[in-house]
Amino acid sequence: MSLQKTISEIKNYSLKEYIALSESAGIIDFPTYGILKFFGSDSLDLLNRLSTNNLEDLQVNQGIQTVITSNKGKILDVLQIFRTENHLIAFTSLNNESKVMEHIEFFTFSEDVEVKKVTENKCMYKISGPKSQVLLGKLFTKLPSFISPFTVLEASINNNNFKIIRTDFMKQPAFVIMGNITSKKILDDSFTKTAESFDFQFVKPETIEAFRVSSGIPEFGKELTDKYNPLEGNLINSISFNKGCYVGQEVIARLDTYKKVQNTLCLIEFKSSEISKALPSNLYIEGKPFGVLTSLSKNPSNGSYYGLAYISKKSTDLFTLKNFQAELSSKETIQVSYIKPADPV
Amino acid sequence: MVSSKKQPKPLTISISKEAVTHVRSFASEAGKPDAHIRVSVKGGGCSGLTYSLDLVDEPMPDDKIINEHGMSIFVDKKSYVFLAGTQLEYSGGLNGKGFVFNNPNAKTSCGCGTSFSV
Repeated sequence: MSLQKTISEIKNYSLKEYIALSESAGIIDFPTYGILKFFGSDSLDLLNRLSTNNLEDLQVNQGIQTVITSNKGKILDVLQIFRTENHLIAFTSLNNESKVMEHIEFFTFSEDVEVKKVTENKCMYKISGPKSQVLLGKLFTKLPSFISPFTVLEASINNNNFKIIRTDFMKQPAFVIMGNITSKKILDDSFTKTAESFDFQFVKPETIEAFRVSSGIPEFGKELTDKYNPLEGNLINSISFNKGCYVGQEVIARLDTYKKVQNTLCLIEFKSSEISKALPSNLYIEGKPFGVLTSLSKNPSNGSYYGLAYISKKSTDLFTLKNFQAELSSKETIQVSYIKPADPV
Repeated sequence: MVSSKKQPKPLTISISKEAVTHVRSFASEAGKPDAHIRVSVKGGGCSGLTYSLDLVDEPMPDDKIINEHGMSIFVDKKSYVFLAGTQLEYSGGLNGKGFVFNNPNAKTSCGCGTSFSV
């Protein structure tokens, strides 16, 4: 991805959309996940053996976030797994479902597991923002007054069934509404009708990107790649340290126990706006590398440029500095207001 | 001219006499003195793949069957790919580890030796 393209995209932001996300509710109607279904009695056990979180006690209509890792403890994808009566639903990163399927099939021997890609058969909307549950209550009747994170509910509009899943994917209340692709028009109509009584916004990808970056949320393919482990990627809340063995467990446990994590995912605020270097780009101070810039976006609410970067362990003294000059691989200089560790996802 | 090049041994799975003795002992304790063993690989474990040993009475359809020291070893075809050439041994004594898989396909193993990668 070229940063120049990113700059032109982020200038196209909508302040109204950003405010809806941060103060009311924003609707995301473009694809953001791949969707897999797992059938078979060994599915949960297999996924438990291949990922970082403890899935053993996952109950029906509950979900959990977990990380598929390589045997070297590197990130292969972040999955959100939900248990229903008859199968498991897994949200993969966008366009990564085939790779996840291949990975799982490699490790499937005699287990009773069947994986199906269902992304194309489903319609999906996401609602994110502090008032997202209020909006949900206007779209669907008979919902409970409070829905706990990672809970799966069934709801319907005119006998068309949808699954409602609270995922809080933007570090604030957020829900996924998922139904069959044939039910998309029903949901579209319901949103149109609700718009008369509730002020929400459909948000563009650029606005979501601005919100994501300024909130310090890592994304698969940018921050979360097979170059980094889940501890570096701020995914500690998706790791169980007492579940027993899984692929990559020994490496991750050792990194944590002996404090050997090499990079910290950080939020950077820039004053500069004219940058043309492609991402990811190394970051330097006086010619010495101190990290890698992985994302860049502009916060439309305050006009600042924010970036996400991995800062090396030996450069954490930069967290105390304000207003300093750094360079990119292209030798361009940028004015950094501050660098601080991002909060865990 | 006669070639002195040795023919490579066929890759199979073998079990030592001592390992058979211990399998028989475990089988008797489990009330299945005539049981055989299924050797397989499962996804998981720190290094990616984990060894699995089970006492069984019958092979599954399409299993490879290896007979050695009066013991039948059943292996499913996918596991066989990762186990071909493996010697199953038993390490006893105070520092012993129990059943040990000496697997020539394993490039790395985890600390406890129960999982491997290829």
